[in-house]
Amino acid sequence: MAGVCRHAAPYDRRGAGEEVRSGSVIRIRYGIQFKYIYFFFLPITLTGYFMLRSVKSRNLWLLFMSCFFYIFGGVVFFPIIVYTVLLNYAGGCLLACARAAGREKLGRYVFAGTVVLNLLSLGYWKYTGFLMQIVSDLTGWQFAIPEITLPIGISFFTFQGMSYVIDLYRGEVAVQRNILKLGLYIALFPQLIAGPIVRYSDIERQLDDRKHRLDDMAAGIRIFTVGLAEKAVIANSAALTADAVFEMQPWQNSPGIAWLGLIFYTIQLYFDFSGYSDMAVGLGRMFGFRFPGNFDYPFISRSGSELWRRWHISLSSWFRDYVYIPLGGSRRGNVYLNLLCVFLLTGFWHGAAWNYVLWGLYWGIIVAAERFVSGRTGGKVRIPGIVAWAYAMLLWLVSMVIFRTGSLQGCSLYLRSMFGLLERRDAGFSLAYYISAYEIFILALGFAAMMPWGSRCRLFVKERVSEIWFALLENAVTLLLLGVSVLYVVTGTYNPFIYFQF
Amino acid sequence: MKRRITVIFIAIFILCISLPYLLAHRDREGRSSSMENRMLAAYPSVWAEGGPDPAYLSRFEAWLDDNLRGRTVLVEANSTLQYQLFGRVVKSDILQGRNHWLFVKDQDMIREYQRLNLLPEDRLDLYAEKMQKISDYLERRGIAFYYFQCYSKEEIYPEQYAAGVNRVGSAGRADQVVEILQEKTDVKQILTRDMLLERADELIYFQYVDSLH
Repeated sequence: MAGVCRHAAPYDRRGAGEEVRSGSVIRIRYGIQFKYIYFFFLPITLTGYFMLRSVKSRNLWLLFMSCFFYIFGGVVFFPIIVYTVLLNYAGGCLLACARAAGREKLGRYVFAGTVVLNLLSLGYWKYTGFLMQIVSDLTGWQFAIPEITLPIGISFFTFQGMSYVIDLYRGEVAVQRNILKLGLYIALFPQLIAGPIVRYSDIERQLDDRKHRLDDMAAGIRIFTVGLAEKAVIANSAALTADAVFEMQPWQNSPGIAWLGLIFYTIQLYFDFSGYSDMAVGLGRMFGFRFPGNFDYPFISRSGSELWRRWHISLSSWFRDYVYIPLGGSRRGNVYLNLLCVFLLTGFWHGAAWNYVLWGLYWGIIVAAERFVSGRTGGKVRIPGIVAWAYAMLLWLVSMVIFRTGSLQGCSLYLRSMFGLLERRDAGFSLAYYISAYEIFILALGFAAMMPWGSRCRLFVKERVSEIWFALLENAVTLLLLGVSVLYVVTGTYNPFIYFQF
Repeated sequence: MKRRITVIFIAIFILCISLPYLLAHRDREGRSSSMENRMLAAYPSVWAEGGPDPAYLSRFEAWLDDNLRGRTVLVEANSTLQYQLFGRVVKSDILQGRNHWLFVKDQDMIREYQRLNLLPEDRLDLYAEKMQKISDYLERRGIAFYYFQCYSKEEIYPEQYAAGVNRVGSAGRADQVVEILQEKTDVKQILTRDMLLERADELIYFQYVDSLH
């Protein structure tokens, strides 16, 4: 269940259950199995949930099942999530007590202590090996670098825990004195392991009082099914081509193959993550929760800044509200430095490796540069939409090389192969090997699903047919999608979610 | 009416996610496969010695894959659908060639076709030395020794191999071995390539079955 891989530079595969990082060893857990979740865990959880009547008992059931979910994903890591719950619960209560007693200074210490302890936990599990490697490289000291297995979902639930304490400190939410409710917020299984990072303020009221209507249940199922189809049909299919290309050494690929692999990887990453997020949002809706969406058609963006307003919204808004604005945002200090800092952290959040740091830096520089240009021109320069779109997509594709290749050397080689700057040798495959009718279909489907055409089409039909016919049609399309997705899930084997590793 | 539609929709969804588990075989001992020469995965136990079984979820997945009722039908349906719609063979270890030919999708075999996995000289020398030793030993005992080189399906029918797979060099491993034995040993060889190529139009290998048959 735990993937272990040793570095084998310069360029290595990163796929199901393994990641290779320059000069160090990383272990990642992919404990949660796809079929187990959807054909066993989910039906039991739903049945148990709706057999209970009160919100209190339903909350307890969800908490119990969420713990069960995490324990079987990696029992040794269960104490970490318990620690996160206890830490933030205790921090929240102490902070509230200090405030009630009028001891603001003590409250500040409690707040700072809680945040630091959260970060220390995340830092230990995620960054120890990386930081020790840096020390070793810089000083020349030789010492054993520990092989630390990354607990699944730690970046997500730690950030959720911190958001509660920060919002409490700011007076935006009330203290939660029921540890089970706070535990449910942090450990709630749909978004526990790969987001979206739900804020406590988003579901504070829903923990006590939420509606369970048939329409919400049906809407949840529809969102969930769309997510499942995104993952099972599009992401998993795109992964086959992306992996096949990235398995090759960069000098074996022609520029066409390198670009194709990258486009397929973009499709894989987007539908893998967006699919998971949709499934989480849909599941939440089935249980009466309304989680915010995590993506807003990022690939219609016309700039890097816009892309980041539409991609992984829960993470970028977390950093905006808890890092960028406290740093001064665009009003105090150096806005460019603030942006750079936020994007560096965003990159580092994704993983303890130089390629993620570089990825963050890359986006920080681009967003800062766009801000600078926009400030200088006052937004008066008009660029044709298609050019602006192509610019944003090019930026994204290049950033995906940094994200995917896992080492700086691999990244440099792949970029050179994309632009024909690498002498091609041992070219065992040509483009025809990677592209057939099915790949063209997945490309077309992926492109269509990246655009807001589906929701426009839905609106178009809704305005023209009766409510009954619309309900029939919408549900029939959903069931068709579900059938195809189940067919893919049952007959396929490629199922790990990429964002489980973060 | 709309409420009824919604209820039916929810019920179908629940059935879709529940039936695979409910209908699966749950033998604790595992059953023998009717399609393959192996035992199917047994229904997993949640608990192992001393606590929850850390491999429970993997075992569960393996059990469900092996014991899902109707999975064979679904696999066939998916294969047929994909083949009819996209001309695609979904089995991951099969490489689709031209004119409906099928080959084994094995990294080593593909690299052999591409001539990208040539043997290093020291290994070839070692191989020649061993063959010579065997040949000498058997000769001393009055036994004739012949080296017989087999060739895979893609060596005999390269024109049917998958589109987009390129030959990078001219000689493969088999050619290397034949050459080194000729150069450095007096081992007698039975060279089959030309014979097989001469009679290739008689379909020496079946086009739909892998190279090993």
